[in-house]
Amino acid sequence: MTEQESAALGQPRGLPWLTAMNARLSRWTMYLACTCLAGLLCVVVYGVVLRYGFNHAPPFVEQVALLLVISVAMFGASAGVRDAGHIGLDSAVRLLPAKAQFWCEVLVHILSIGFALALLAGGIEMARSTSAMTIPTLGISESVRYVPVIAAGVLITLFSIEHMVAQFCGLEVVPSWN
Amino acid sequence: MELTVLCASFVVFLLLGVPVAFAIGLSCLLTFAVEGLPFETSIQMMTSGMNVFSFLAIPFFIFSGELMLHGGIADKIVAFARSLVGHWKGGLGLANVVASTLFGGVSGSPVADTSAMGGVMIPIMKREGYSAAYAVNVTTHASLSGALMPTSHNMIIYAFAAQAASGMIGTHSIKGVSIGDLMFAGLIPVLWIMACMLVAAYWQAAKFGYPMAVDGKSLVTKFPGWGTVARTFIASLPGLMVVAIILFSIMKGIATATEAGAIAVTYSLLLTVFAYRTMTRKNLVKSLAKASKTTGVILLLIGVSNMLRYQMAYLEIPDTIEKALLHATSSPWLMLLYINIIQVALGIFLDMAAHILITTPLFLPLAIAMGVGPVQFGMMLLLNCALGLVHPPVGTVQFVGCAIGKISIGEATKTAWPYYLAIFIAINLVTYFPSFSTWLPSIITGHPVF
Repeated sequence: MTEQESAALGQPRGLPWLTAMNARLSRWTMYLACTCLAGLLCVVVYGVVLRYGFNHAPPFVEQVALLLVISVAMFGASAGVRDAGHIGLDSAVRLLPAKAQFWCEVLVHILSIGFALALLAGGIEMARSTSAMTIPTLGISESVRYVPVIAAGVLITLFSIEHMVAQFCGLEVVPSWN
Repeated sequence: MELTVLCASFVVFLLLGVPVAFAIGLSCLLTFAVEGLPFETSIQMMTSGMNVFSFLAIPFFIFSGELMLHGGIADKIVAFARSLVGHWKGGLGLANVVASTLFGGVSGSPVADTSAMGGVMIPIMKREGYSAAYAVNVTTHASLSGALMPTSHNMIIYAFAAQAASGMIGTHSIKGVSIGDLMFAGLIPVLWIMACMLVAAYWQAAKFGYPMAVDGKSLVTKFPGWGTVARTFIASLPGLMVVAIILFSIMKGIATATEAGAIAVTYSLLLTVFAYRTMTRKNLVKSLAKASKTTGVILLLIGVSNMLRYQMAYLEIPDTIEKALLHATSSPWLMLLYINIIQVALGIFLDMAAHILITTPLFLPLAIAMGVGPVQFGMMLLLNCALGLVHPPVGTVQFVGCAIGKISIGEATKTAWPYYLAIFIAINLVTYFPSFSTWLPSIITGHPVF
């Protein structure tokens, strides 16, 4: 049952503000991931054309591409959490009674939040400790590399909380991007 | 103690249903904590694991597959396959095998292959006198060849997992694995699988009398003529060219795998947008979004696997497994059988990318010690993983096929044994006859391939 359907029936609605915020966040995360993937393609093709067409290999291509690929990965992985895109093994849990299944799913969300918080804390620490270093050929701080990791930590935490609240209220999280 | 924490927590998380990437990450973080190592080091390992230029090939191969999936290439390949073998007994089944193999080469993904081919072929087959189980099984099993095709991103994942492989085979020193060698190594096994699937599909069609009308009358059609075959082939040729572009550019040293992937995406875009005019704006965005999400899931897995690789090396897990298996047997024949049995069992439960990343560092050193090179081992591994894709409980490809065919997994599995047998034979040929996978790359590249 979606949040709108449950509201119409006068049942608990979970946290509507969180759902609305996460739906928007998830959509923008996907826009960002798609833009980064398109940018990645442009940068690599640009490098190939310059290298073979003009015998000139632009030195920044590799570093820009690496920054973009980590952005695609972290934003894509975050959106995958809200839209249930990650692969897990649920066949063992499905053998359990309904109540046990419910608590297993809650535990999965708590563990996902734990992983996301580790990403967040580890990402902040790495960004702090590498802030004085610069990425060769780009001249920007090495800490930029950890920004998508920090963002993924925040996003996965929010999306997992939403899934958990929805589960307690007997609701479904509707993917914002199909 | 650390080993217990790593293994026990991973198994518990996996059984609980925690996404595989998170399960690996969490169990590694726990082990880091028990070892007293700073946990930000693990995050750095994860990030550096993803930040490798060669991995850029992964999003490109996935994106190219998505463009081909949504760009209407499938219809042209189906038309060609139908004109070629559609007039035989079980003609649509045979056409499905040919089309699925060809589209597997274009997309490099068994799931994309099943979605595209299944979406077109399964409803037609059901309508024209074939059982749903037959239509689903033919599609899903023939789609597996996508995992061994040059466009397969799983090959890139394996190349990453095997990059630290080293050892001696005879007098030859082994160091990592070449992506080009892997791409050529898959071609003969793919042709074998296609031939076996054609035999299995024909045999079942003859046994059950497909295609058959509701009143029991045969629905076999007439041969449309070589003119139609040539016309449909020419129409599908530009789509099929993507495989040739990748192979040619890598073989001639014109481009790296990453650059070949970027060229393949550009070609697919130009083809579907300007030549075929089948790519709509909506489908383009859909392809981008799907590719981004799949890339995220796979690269996160690769990142956390880097943490796991560190832990496995630190805790000497591959050495322990090697010793245990060597204690069980010293016969290479039996050892390879054990490795295959373990891999098939793991493939039934683990997703393909996770399977490759976890088992390669565990079994490749042992395989090299038994005289099996990284290219041959890669083919063994990919085939074992492929079998898991069509087997419950985690058979993603079978799920997609059954969803399209509107039948239960159990219903499809009942008549799937001839197709399992075909893959089983292929696994054994690759395992016990090295030249089955290494002969072609050796001939093409001019150097010995193991």
